[in-house]
Amino acid sequence: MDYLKQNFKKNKLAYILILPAIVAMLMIHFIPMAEGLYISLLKLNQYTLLKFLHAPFIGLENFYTILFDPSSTLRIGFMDAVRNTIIYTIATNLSVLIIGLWLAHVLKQQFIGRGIARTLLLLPWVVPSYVVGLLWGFMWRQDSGIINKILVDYLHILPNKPFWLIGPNVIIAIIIPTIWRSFPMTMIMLLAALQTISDDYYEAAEIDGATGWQKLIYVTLPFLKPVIGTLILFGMIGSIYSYNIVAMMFGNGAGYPGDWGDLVMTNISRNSFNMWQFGTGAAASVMLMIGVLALTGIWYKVFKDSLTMQ
Amino acid sequence: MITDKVITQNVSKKYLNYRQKKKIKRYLSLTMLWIFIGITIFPLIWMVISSMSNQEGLLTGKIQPQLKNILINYHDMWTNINFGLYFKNSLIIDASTTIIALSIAVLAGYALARFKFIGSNLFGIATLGTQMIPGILFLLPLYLIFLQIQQTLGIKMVNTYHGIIITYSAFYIPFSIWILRGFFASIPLEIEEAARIDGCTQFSAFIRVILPLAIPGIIAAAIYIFLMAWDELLFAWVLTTSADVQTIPVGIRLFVGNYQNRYDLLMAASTVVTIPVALIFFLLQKYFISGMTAGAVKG
Amino acid sequence: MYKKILVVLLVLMLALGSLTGCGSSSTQTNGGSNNQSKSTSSEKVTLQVWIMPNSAQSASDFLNVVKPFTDANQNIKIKVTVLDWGSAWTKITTAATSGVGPDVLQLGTTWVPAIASMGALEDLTDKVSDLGGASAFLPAAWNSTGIKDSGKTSAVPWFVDTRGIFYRTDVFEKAGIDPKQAFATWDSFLDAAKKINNMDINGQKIAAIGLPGKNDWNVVHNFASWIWGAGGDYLSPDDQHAVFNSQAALKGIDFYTGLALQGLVPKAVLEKNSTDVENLFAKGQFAMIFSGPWLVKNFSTPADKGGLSDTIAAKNYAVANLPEGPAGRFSFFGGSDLAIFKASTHKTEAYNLIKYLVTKEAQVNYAKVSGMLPALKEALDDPYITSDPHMAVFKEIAQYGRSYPAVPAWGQIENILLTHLGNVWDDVSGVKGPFNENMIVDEMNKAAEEVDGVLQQSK
Repeated sequence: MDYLKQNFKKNKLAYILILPAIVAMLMIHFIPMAEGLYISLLKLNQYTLLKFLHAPFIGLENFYTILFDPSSTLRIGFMDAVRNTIIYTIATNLSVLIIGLWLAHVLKQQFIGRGIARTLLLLPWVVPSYVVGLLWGFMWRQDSGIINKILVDYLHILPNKPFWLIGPNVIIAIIIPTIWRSFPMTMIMLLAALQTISDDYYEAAEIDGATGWQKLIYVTLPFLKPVIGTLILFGMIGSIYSYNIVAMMFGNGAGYPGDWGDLVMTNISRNSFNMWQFGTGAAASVMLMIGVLALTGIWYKVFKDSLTMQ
Repeated sequence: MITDKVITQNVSKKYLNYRQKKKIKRYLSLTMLWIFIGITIFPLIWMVISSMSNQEGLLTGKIQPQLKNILINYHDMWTNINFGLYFKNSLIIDASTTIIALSIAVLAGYALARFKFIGSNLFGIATLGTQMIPGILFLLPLYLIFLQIQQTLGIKMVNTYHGIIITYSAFYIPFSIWILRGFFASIPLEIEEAARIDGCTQFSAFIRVILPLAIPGIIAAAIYIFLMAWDELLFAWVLTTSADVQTIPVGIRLFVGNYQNRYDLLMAASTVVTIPVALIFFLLQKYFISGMTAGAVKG
Repeated sequence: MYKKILVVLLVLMLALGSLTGCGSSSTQTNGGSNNQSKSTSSEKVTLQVWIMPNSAQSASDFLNVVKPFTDANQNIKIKVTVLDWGSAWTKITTAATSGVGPDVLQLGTTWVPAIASMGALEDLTDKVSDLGGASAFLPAAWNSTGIKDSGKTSAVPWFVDTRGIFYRTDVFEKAGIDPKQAFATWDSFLDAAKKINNMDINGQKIAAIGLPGKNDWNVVHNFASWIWGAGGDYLSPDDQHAVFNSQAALKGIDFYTGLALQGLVPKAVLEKNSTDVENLFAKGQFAMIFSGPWLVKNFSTPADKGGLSDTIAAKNYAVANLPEGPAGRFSFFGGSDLAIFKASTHKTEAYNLIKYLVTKEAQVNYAKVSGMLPALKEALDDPYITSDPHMAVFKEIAQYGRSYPAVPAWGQIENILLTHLGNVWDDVSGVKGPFNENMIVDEMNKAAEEVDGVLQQSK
């Protein structure tokens, strides 16, 4: 008890300093989230909406409906959305890391125009994501879009113009703009980390006769592990909770992006706010959150060593 | 003798080859880099070109940028819908959010970096934990809590500047704390101790000595907050009803919708909204990068 | 000292906790604080009105139309908020949940039963007789004003959104086709379209028909006339089951999608929305499109005001009713109603405003600015409509109007249909491999199963 008292006394200032942050997080994050968790146990739909928290309590039925009920209206679309989100998350994060690593590696060298190159490469990151959705949606159009014009009319890479905004290609149409917008951040973080690696390590590796790939695997990557870990964590969360680009590209958020374009977030927001299935919507969000927490647990296992190393 | 000569020749040949190879490799990778840069900035160039085209060209794909269209489109985008109002709202909301969230995050970030207090781990985990909550889970509850505040306390929250500012501030505080904590941790403790020997209290040492040193980190967090707030769509969409407080992402939809499809004005507006963030970012780029990476590299 | 902080923290947490605790229970007593206002005619009243973007300058257009009303009632001030269609659902839903909302609101006709079933709308049953009751309005429009068979009226029809065929007179002339005959039946329509398709007009090939596919706001509405025309329907007469997967309904869906499958609609158009399609028609890419009265207005508005009057189609077009299907001729009836929020504190004034908005004068004036059709029968006789050859056709089309079943679950049903009809368009576009008829049957069966589930839930 004495120890506690002393600790409090010693760190009085710290508690005062974090108080505003605690209040803000409680009010905007945790209390509404607690209500959200509770809603996931309620039969809250258009008929019971006015009762809100006093809607019938149905336990875990919402979860059962989404996961197992074959006749459920939500299950089918939700599973598509989960599949798309998995593909989307893996594809965007992997590509962003590879592109970022390559660019960081090139930008580390001295060459004429390096500053300009870096600035130009950072440009996509400052474009607001709703503009990204609108702009790329405009460029992906089948007959009048510039992408098909370049691919088919100018470069003759494809024999005829494919549809990007309908059908299975939609998943490509949402992955590429996401990569485009997220690689600059990854690049700049990796570049900064690369610059902290002393050249001595590379020279030593060269004396040992290491090839370029070996240097990457045995020298660069271990050094970058903490940064890569951070990037993966936030990249992962960002893609799983991605909403803006898809919402703006398809029907201004009101439409249905199709069974290959619907992400979990757009699916839940449509079910909650267009179909008034707030209970099942909340249950789906809770499962999504559990999924993210589980992934974070795995992430922590993998990157634990490199995090404590620092 | 002869063999010796052959060997040295071979070696020098090999050496040259190696140098040449390296040079070729370098040129190759630089060429690839510039091609990639070309592809990267093309969509933005296309956005600007489209904003100089007319409606018909954009519709049919026969895009011919004309200078006179610059005058027309960049003028009409403010009159076709009341875009200036959305722009003003975004600026007010985002600037206030940045100031409020930053002040709170600076305090908490410093506390986390310098104190080992009971609950500091819990606080750190809670901070990261907020990032894992899907916004859609607490969107409706938050909206209703706002309405309840209005009913019980008489403070209007929905459809007001301060309602959104409070929401956004809380959104971006956690990650800013995380950036700033890393930066504060990278400032040597000795500096602070020296200040305290000179007679400063811990708090005044923080204000007078540590804060000025932390400016790159603070700028990094500020840019992060501003960019995120500029980008937010879902909550702005639900928490506002009238154009008096709606932000750009809500307003910009009106260019392309049920009533009209003005891609020309949309592209002009997109260009205009990208410029302020680009300006802020590139003016402060240096600080941003050092601030962000201090947090990440130092863990 | 630390105690103080602890206490402050605890108090704060409790305060926040109790705030949400007691707040949540008060949500159902929405409008509990309404009693304070017993408005008299001299008291200053501000009416909050929520409308959708019905016209280019939605807010000021609305205020101009109600100007005679505000002039006559100096004490009433009107504050208009324009919602966009995409977020309107959300706003109205949450307003209904909380009781904090407008006094008067515009509702899409298909939304009225759902929002009425939430108990969020003022019951107008006893009042509407002084508006002339059901007989004063277009019957299909009146059907949407309350939950089917409930005998209650929760809203008043404001304007009607319906569809006709816009066609190029010069193209029909060149092809030697008599429009009257072409638009008589489905078969003659198909023949005419085939004859026109790929004709050379001014050195350019013209496609017969333009219609939007999946990426549109009206995916579900676009099918309605054809499903009804083939003798199909959406729900069984007792509203217990989905029947849009019946043979007849599928025939209608097949006919409409068949227009694209037979190459009468360029595939690229299937990716676009209806506004794009209208603009492309204006620029001369199609000989026919399906659209509503607003396009007539657009075709007479000059370009510098955002209209299309300079375009080739604007100078050479006419409007016709949809061809008669095997089971008859039906035109889809959508549009909007006006309702009073139950939580409103100024119900009398709100009702007076609505009453003004459905007078002949206001109906005609609003039709002029919005390009929609008035819902009041009397207003359809105004010279604005009868003296304009194009609008006159829409008056005739209005006689064939039919609307969706007014059941509370319709919002959800429409969203299910949106998903599956969207998939049908994917199949038709051929982006998922070669098309076969069974794909449509599968999709509609799936949709029917889901809709049955929703109807089950609503019991």
